[in-house]
Amino acid sequence: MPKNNIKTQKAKNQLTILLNPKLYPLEAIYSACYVFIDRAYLFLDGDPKKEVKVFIKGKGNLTPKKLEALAGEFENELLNCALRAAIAKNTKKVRETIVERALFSALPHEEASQDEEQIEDDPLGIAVPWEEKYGKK
Amino acid sequence: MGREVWEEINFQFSILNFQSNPNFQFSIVVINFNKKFYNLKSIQKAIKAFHGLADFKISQNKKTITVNLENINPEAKSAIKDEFCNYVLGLMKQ
Repeated sequence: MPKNNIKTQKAKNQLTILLNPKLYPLEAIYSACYVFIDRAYLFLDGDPKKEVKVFIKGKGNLTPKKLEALAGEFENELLNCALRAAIAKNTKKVRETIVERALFSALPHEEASQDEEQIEDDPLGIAVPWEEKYGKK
Repeated sequence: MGREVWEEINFQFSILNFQSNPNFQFSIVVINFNKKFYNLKSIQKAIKAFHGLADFKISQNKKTITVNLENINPEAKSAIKDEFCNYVLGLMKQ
């Protein structure tokens, strides 16, 4: 793992993960923290433009091995959340279009058929075929 | 580095003749939230949720929002700081 992307500092029953915000957007960091809220105590600090510090403290006393495993799981979750955020960003327009279409098709039938009724109204008789209007030659 | 953030200032002193208990402990917990990650609204919501467990005081400067916890319920004393931070973080996600 490249040194500058994730750094881990360990202390007694707690560790600090230093993240590069260019690789892990803040939204992904919040999401990953949220997933771990029931398993550990988390705290954010640092600078969202330079380096984000995530302080993770175990609920109860954790052995160094367990703490390390927790850090690993957090990093995996972080990657998962970063990917989700990237996909959500890339597919935003497609999702909006799908919802728009779904809402439009769910409109009540009367409103949807208004256009058809307007076409049927033909006060100038434009829609009447020539043969009907003037007879056959 | 972590200690600065998880800083807990414990003023423990005995007050002689205080309710006939010389071992009375008075403690204050100070939490500094970085404004770039936490907003005041979430902290205020968290304080509303935790108001029964301690007396909260908020102050802020350019970079941080400081929350002081006093008169902490003895039963919640050991975990209130961490649980409060987690609660605020949860609200930030929402």
